[in-house]
Amino acid sequence: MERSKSRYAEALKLVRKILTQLKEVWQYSDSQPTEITLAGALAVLFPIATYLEIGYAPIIQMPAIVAGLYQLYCVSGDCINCRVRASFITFCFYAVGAVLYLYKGYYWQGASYWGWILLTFSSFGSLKRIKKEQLHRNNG
Amino acid sequence: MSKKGLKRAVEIFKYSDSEPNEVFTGLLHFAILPLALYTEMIKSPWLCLFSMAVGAFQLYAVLYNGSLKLRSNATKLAAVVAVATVLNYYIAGLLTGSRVGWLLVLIFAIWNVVRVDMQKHLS
Repeated sequence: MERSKSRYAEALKLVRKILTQLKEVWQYSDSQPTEITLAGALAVLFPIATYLEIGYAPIIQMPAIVAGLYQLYCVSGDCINCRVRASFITFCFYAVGAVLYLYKGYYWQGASYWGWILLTFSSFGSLKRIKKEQLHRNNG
Repeated sequence: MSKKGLKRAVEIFKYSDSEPNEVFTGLLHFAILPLALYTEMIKSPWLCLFSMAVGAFQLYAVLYNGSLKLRSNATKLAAVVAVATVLNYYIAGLLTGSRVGWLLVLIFAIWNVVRVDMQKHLS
């Protein structure tokens, strides 16, 4: 009984440590590589995938290419306000994409489509990190 | 003077933190890849279990252990899984639309190997 209790406590400690580390990585690590990947995927993967699977929707696909290129431009220039703006736009596109795939019922067809939800979370995390950085810079 | 454009992109990919990408790849291999393999392609429990084991190992290496040696091994294993995934999807003719995302995961995995190994050699 005592042994199982200590094992349970150890497992709980391990989970807590992992969660704390996960939170730290999420909050404080560099976000630029994620931004570049999200921008690249938005400019290339998003328009092609939505065109093939959802259909021709230039009101989403054309601006997505521009938004992706804009985020790449912002990351390369290191302007924090520009990066916040671009990250917000990217997050909006991924959120719209995730909702469109949900609306079309793709999530029940295969787990590969869940990647859009993951990209939405990733872009939100990136936006949160940069916004925090912007607030820190503005407040000295 | 700070570098701009492509030079800055190369600098970011060489020297910025790779942990978020390692966590991302680990989560994908632990949770989404087994489900994707099972629902879309091959109903092989061994492949699913192998993918989950590699994902769990990578998450353990980056979130719990943290040593560069273990992280380096985990990223290499993850790269092998990512290559196998892309090859399997390509051979099955399923690497279209949203599934091209697995190619993105492969790029992530290779970049993780380069980045962690570089950090290991520098330390």
